[in-house]
Amino acid sequence: MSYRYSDGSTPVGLDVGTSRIVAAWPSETDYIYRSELNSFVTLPGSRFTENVLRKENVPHTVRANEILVQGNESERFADLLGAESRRPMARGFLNPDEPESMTMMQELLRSLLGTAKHARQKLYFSVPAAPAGAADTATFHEASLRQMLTELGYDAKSVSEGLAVVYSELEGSNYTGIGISIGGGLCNVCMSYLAVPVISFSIPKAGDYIDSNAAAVTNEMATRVRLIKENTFVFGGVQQEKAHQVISVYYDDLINSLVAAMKDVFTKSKSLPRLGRPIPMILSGGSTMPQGFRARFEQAMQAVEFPVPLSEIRLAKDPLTATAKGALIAALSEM
Amino acid sequence: MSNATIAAPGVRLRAPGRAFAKYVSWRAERISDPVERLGYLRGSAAYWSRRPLRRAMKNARLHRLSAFVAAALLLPIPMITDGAAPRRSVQAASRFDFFANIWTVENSPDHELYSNGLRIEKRHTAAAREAVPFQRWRLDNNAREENPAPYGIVFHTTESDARAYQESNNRQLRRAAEGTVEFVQSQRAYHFVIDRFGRVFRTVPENEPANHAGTSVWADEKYYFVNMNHSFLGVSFDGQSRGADGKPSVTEPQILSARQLTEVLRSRYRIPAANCVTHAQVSVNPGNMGVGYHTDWSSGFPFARLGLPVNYLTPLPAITLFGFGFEEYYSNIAAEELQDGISAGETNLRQDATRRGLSTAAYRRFLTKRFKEVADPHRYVNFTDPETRSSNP
Repeated sequence: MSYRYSDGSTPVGLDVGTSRIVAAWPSETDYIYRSELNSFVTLPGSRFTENVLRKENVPHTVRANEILVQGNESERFADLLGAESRRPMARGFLNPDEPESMTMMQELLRSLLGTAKHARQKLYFSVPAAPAGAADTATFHEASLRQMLTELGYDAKSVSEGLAVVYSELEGSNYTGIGISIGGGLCNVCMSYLAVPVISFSIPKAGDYIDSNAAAVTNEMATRVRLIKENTFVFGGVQQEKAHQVISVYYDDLINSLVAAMKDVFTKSKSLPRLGRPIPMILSGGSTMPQGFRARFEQAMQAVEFPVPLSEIRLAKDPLTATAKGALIAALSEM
Repeated sequence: MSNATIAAPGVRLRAPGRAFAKYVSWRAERISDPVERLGYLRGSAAYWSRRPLRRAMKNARLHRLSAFVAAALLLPIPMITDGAAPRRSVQAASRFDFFANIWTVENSPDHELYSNGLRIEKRHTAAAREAVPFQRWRLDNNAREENPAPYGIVFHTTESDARAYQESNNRQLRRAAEGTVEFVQSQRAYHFVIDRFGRVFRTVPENEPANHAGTSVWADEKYYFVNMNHSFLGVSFDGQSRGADGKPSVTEPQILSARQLTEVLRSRYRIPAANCVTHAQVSVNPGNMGVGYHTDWSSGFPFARLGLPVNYLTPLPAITLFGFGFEEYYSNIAAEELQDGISAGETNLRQDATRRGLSTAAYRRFLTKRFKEVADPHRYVNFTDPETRSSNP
C-alpha cells in the first residue's frame, strides 16, 4: 500500500528525544529514517572556519562572533575541542537553562526535515509524558515544538512517546500493551488499551543520569562516558573496568527506579482496564541498547509484584527508531 | 487508506466499554494492515470519546447497520467470569425490559382479542394435555428451577413454499395457511403460527411444551436453558427465512402481528428482551458439536421492529458455556451481527481457556463433557414428552 500524497510527499514521524532527533518516512516497502544528535557546540567565529564548514556541508549557524555547529557533527567538534556539547533539551523537555535552545531546535528540525511540501502534510512528533505524580509540565514544550513545525509548514500533532512505541511494535496485540522508551533524559511509560493511552507517565532518570553521575565518579567527561556506555558496556558478569562498574551501578539504579515507579503508578491507578489476557511490554530507546539490558530489566520486574499480568518483555526491533516509526504510523493512520 | 476520524484536538481518547471492546478487538484483528488497523482503533476510540449527544446525532446519520450496532449497546451481552460452573453472565440493564400494560378485551371460544389489537385465533389449538412446568438452570450452581410460565420466545419460520403475496393468490394463500396451521397443530410444532396475512393462530397451549427448539442452548443473566422446548415458547412465521431473493419472505402484516404477539407474551409472562431469540441462535448439533443445526432466522430477523434489541450480537451461549464450534456454511449464511455474536463467543471461550491455563481444545473438550451431562434426557425424570430433535427447519 502506498502512503503518498498526490504530489509524491508523505507523512512524517518525528521522535524528538533529549539526545537524538529521529525522523521517519514511509518507503514503498518499509520505512526510511534519518537522525541528528540533539546537541550543538560553539566555535569561535572566523571567516576561515565558516568557509570550511560550508565546504564540508556541516550544519551550522553564524552568530556575531561565534559559530554554532549543530547535529551529528557537534559531537566530533566537541571531542576535537575537548568541550562538552550543549543541549537544546534536558530531561526530556526544552532546556530552560540553555538560551539557544529554541533557536537551535528550530535549526535542527529545519536541517532534518526541510519545509513541508504542502499545508496538509501530516507530521506526528513525540512528546514526553508528565513526570509521575507531577502536574502537566509538557504543555510549553509541546506548544513550542508544534509552533516550530507549523512554521516549517507541517500539519503537526503530538503523540506521547510511550504510545508511539506501542504503535510501532504492538500491532499484533491490537495496540494493547505497555510501551517504555528509555532515552537520554526521561523514561517514558505508556499503557495502551486498543490504541488508547490509559496510563502515561515519565521519570526523570535515563541515559543522561547515568552519564553525568558516572562522569562525576570516574572524573571523565559525560560525553566520553556515553561513548563507553554505548560502545563497550555489557550487562552481567564481573566488570573489569572501573567505568563499566560505575555504569552498571547507575544502570541498576535507573532500572530499579523505573520498576518501582511503574509498580506504584499501576497499583494506584483507577483507570486500569479489565484485561482478558496478559499483555506485552516493549522496551525501546538508546539506553536499552547494551547487551543484557532486557534480561536485567525482566529480573527486576520479577522481583516486584506488578499488578498487570505480562505475557512478555521484549526489546523493540530497532530501539533507536521505534518512537519515530510509531509516530509515523499514527500519521499514516490519519491519511 | 484509512478514513479514520480521529478525535478533535483536546478531546481525550476513551477506550470502548468492556462489552464493546470485544467487538472492536474482533473487528481489528481482521484488518491485516497495521496502519489501517490503528486507524480503525483510533477511529473507534474517537467515537467513544464524543459527547453522548453528538454521538447520538452521528448515529442518526449512520447506515442502518450502525443503528443496529448502536442498539446493541443497550444489549445484555453475556460476559466471562471464572468459576467451575457454567459461566455466569453479566447483563447490562436493558432499556427494552419494560412490559406494556395489555389486557384481554374479549375471550370467545374461537378467538381472543387484546388491548394492543392482537387477535389470536383459537380454532386450531391442539387438545390440552397435562401442564408441564418450564425449566431452567442457575449459572452459578447448576441448580434446576421450574416455573409454570415460559422464560422466553424462540422465533422460527415454517419454511413453507407459498405463492407470491398478492391479491390474485388470495385463495391459494388462505388454503396453504390453513394446511400449514393444521400440520403444525398435529405435530405440536409451535405455540403460535402467524400466517402471511398476519393472522395469529395458537396451535399449542402456552402451559405445555411444543416441539419447536430441539437440541438447543441459550442463557441470560442468571440462568441457562438446554433443550428449550421445555423452557421457551415457539412462534413461527409462515414463510421462508431465505426466499427466492435470499431475503426472508415474511410479509408486513406478519411483522406487525409478531410485534403485538411479542408484546402480549412478554407482558403476560414477564419475558426479558434478551430471551427473545431466533431458532438459528439457539439450535445446536451435539453430533458434531456445532451451532446452527437449524438455520431459520439466521439473518434478517426484524428485532428492532418487534421492539427488541438486536440479540444476534449476543455471544452465543452454546459456544461460551458448552464449547460448541461452528461450520463455515453457518457463518456464511449468518447475519453480520450474528457472525459478531459467534466471534465474540469464540473470543470468550479462548479467554476462559487461557485463564484456566488450558489450551482452547482442552477447554472445549471439558465443556463438551459438561454439555453431555447437562443435556442428558434421563437426568431429570419429570420430563414429559422429551423431544430432542425438532422436525422444523
